[in-house]
Amino acid sequence: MRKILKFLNQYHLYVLALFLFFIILFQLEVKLPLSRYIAIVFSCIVFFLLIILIKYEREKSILKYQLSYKNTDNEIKINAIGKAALFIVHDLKNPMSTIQTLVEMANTDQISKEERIRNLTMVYREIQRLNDMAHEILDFVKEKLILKLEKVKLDSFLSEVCDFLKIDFQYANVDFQMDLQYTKAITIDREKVRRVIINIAKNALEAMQNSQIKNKFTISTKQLGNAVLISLVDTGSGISKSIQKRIFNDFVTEGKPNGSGIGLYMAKATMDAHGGTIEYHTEAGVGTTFNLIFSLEEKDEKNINR
Amino acid sequence: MKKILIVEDQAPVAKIMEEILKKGGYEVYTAVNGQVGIERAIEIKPDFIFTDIMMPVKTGYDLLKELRVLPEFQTLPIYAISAKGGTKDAEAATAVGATGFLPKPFSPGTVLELVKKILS
Repeated sequence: MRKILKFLNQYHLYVLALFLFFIILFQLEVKLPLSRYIAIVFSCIVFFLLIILIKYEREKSILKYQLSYKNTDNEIKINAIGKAALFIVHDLKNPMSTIQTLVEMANTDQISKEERIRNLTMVYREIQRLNDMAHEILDFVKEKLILKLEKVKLDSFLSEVCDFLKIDFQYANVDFQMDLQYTKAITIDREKVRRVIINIAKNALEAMQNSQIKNKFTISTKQLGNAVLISLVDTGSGISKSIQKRIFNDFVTEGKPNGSGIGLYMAKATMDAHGGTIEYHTEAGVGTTFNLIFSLEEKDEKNINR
Repeated sequence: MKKILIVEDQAPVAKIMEEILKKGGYEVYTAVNGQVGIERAIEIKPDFIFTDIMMPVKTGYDLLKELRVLPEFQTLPIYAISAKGGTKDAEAATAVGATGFLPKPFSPGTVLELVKKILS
């Protein structure tokens, strides 16, 4: 009964038309042989079946299109990248305009040799920033995160990364501290881990701008059994409760005028690919700690799906 | 010596502007976001302000709105600087009280000429 009602509901106009057709025939007292009546009913049934078949095929093709669109991870990412493109382009424009001005400044006779060297060091730093952004976007769109593992002396590596970050922290009047206890080598993808640390530090810097107190950022390392812990501690505003559970999802961003929401997602993907862990503790008004834990067990070249 | 305040969250951009303007003979101050910029402006009473638009905590628009209601900042030259060089951004900045708009990238000569012209 339900099926009949559903059918009538879907095709009521056609049923009504057929019903009216027979009423008119009877009203006009058209005397047709039985074979003609059978032929009319048969053609109506074929007509109905054709309509049903066309509707079914159309719905199936729409569904197929929707499924193929929704199920392709990469398509979703590329689509979302399009939406985030404005922010990414803005981020790219800043280092590019800095380079342009610095090159113009270096091209005059009015600056000393020391100033020229300092400006060219800044140009190098800005190019590195552009390079980081480009690689991060490429890694994000790729289906696989391929690691280039190498043995890296952790304290020298982190000192180098911190040198890169210090300019921004000093400018924002944030005290930058290092306590690098672990001095041996670990096996990591140097560039990708560098980007993880820079992303967390940049977020920390953004979180430490809204306070009247003298803020502090500390990066420390120590051995924990068969693992190495890198801790990044800030005294910022903390991560808002509304995004805490989704912090490692892509396109989650808050409080940053140009946040693309890719940074922490890539940090998690990078740590997963290393067989490591990323965790955080946060408290409103007190600050946030990010812990990166790398296993010291020997690992082979990895090629892990995200 | 005339005082210039640069409100910019990007350290390299602020450093370059600071260098250019110091060479031009100005006393230069910097602020890392709109909020700090408002506080510094009230504290040092600058003769000229450059403010970025997209900044954390408070944007350049916020800074313009909040400073323009104070009597001592109603006629002060405040130039908006932004990597977004579109006409809409310039119009939006002017609508909240910016004296003018300086798109990034800028050449050292343009910055100095602009300040000299306005402050003379």
